[in-house]
Amino acid sequence: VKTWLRSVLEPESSAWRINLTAVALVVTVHAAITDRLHDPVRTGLLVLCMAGIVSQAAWLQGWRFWAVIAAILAAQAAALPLTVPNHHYALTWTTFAIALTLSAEESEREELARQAAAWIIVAIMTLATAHRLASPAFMDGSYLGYMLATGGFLKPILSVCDGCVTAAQANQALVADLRAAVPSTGEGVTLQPLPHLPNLVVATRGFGTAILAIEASVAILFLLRRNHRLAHWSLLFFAATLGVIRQELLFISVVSMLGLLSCPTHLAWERRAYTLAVVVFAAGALG
Amino acid sequence: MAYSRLRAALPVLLLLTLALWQFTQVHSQGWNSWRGGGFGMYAGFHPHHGEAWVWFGDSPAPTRIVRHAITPTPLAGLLHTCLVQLTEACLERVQRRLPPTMPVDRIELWRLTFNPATRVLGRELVAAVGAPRRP
Repeated sequence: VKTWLRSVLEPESSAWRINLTAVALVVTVHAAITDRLHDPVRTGLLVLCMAGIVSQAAWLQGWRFWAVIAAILAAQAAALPLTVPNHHYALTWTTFAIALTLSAEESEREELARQAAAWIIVAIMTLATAHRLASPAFMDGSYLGYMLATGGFLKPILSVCDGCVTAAQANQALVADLRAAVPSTGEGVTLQPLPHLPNLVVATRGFGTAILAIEASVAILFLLRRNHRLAHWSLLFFAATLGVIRQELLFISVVSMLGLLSCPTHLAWERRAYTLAVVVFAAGALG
Repeated sequence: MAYSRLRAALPVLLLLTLALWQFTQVHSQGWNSWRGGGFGMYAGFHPHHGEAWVWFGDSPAPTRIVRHAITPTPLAGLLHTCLVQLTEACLERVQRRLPPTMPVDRIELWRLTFNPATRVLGRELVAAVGAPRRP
């Protein structure tokens, strides 16, 4: 174990090795817990990634290893394109990017990987923002209002708000009753207001604007100043707020992994924060 | 150097190609934004918020088809795609692929609606195939 740990944390190549280990770890957790994968895909990814994590230099730093992982993820996405979650696509593109950068000159690899990861972050945040702006259900507050009223968002806050959990549970029961019945035009049930949140319209407008502002800021900062501390703190802030809004632990670990891949080595504290986030959220997702 | 840059850019170019195609399907054809690799999660109701109801043969009431993970019944697996695509064309494809031993008279796709001002939750019909039937 000592030898293995020393090889992982070897000073001259530790940043690069930690990056690749983090990606292999996140793919391992994805393979272990995502229920929409075929069994051979799950087994293949688990065996390969765990072998990669253990072997470190031998496998983890070879472009063929990542090309095989990317090919397996891509084949699964092609087989179930409307079933696999978005983080599966994010992992597919990231592992493909790593395979390509590892096939470049050794002196260029880390910078190319940082560029590729930053561009993937820009693309994901821009697409997420564009979808929200073009979505009537997001812009008119119907989706956010439903999720707030039924306790689908902000669970940590609801849990300390007096009476909120009870009201959200009552609303969930109303939803379950409605959805158990044969649907008909003109039907409807009125959900209870949450305590301290009487005006759902105002709440959804503020909430929606904040989400758009945070995601657009991350996209702009990574597009224009990807090596600046501010870009990385914006992504860490996004990951933290996502953890409060909705506990999508695996997606948060994917975002943190992309942040780590894109983070220059001189931003030591940001790299530590990303590494910690990858490990904590991946472990949380497993739990 | 330009060739090296292409290595870094190629994955994101492919990502954007797929995602922009998905984006056009969502915002011109009415597909659900959550699926298809376009990163439209949390922009609207999840496919699980949709419902597929099927009238079998002479049954007076429809049955809600629920999909379970990756090993669904054939009908549930086919309808899962329609809960993302939300089109009659998708339902027609499902009808054509059903075995003759499965007498399906009508399939309806419904989705949730919610008004944050009145807090009224309801459902709306988004696509259907077969003759209209009500219990």
